[in-house]
Amino acid sequence: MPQVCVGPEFTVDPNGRLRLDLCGGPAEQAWPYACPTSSNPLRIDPNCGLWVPPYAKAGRASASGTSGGALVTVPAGFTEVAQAEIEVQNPSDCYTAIVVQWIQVDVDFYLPPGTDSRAGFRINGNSMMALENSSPAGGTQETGVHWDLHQTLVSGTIPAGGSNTFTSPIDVGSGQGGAQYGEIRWQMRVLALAGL
Amino acid sequence: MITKFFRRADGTLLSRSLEFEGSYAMALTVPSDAVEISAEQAEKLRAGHAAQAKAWVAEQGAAADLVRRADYEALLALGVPEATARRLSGHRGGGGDE
Repeated sequence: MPQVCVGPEFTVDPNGRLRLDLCGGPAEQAWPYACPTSSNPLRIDPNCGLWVPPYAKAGRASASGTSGGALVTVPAGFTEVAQAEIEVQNPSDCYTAIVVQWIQVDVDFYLPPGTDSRAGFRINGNSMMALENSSPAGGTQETGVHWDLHQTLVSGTIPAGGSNTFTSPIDVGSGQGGAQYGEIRWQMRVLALAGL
Repeated sequence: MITKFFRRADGTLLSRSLEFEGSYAMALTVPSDAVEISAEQAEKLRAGHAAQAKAWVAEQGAAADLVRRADYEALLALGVPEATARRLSGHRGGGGDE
C-alpha cells in the first residue's frame, strides 16, 4: 500500500479533512531584500513567508526665497542675479524618484519714461518676459511693476535613499534706457515620485 | 515653515523659507556667499533698500515734473488757454507764474 507523507503545513480539521495551511506571516520589519528593479518583485523567505516589495512613495516640498538690494540698472545682456534652489530628499529608500518642479519667479522693475526703457528676465535660460516703457519724457514711470511667472520642469531624478539639490538660475537682462530691477522673489514646489 | 535671512557682502538681502509635509526630511539650502542675519537685521536692511527705491522713484518723478512744466509753459507762451495747456502737458503743479 502506497504511503503518503505530509509535512507540518498540513493539518486535519475537525471533520477529518486534510487542510493545507498557508504559512509565513513575516514579522513587521524592513524589506530584507535588494530593492526590485524590473524583475518579479515578490519574494518568499525560507519559512515560506511571502514578501511584497516596499510601497511607492511620493514627497512634496516647497522652498522660497527673496533677493533684494538697492535698485540696480538692468544689464543689456542676461546676467544671473539669483538662484532658486531646493534640496529634495527621496521619500523612498528603495526606488529612484522622478521629480516635477514648478518654479515661480517675480522681479520688481522700475522703468523711467522718455528713454524707451526696457527690461526682462529668464528662468533656467528661458526668457519669460520683456517689458518696455514707451511713454515720452514727462510720461508715466513704471514703478515696481512685476509679473509672477512659472516654469514647469519635469526633469531630474534622485537616487534611492538619497537627496539632490535642484537649482534654477534667474537672470535679468534686455536692459536699456536706465531700467532698474529691485527685489526678486522665487518659489520652487517639488513633487518627488518614487517607485511609480 | 522655517525662514532664515542672509546678507551678501554687497548688502543684498536674501531670505530662504522651506515647507514640507510630515516626516518628509528636508534641509534649507544656505547661500554660500552670504552670512546669516537676524530677522530684525533683515527688516532694517529691507527698509534701507525700500528707502533707496523710493528716492529713485522720487528723483525720476521730479525730472518728469520738470519736463511737464516746461511743456506747460511753452504752451502758455503760445497763447494756449491754461486748462488746455495743463491737460496737454500733464503738468500737475502750480500756475505758470509760480
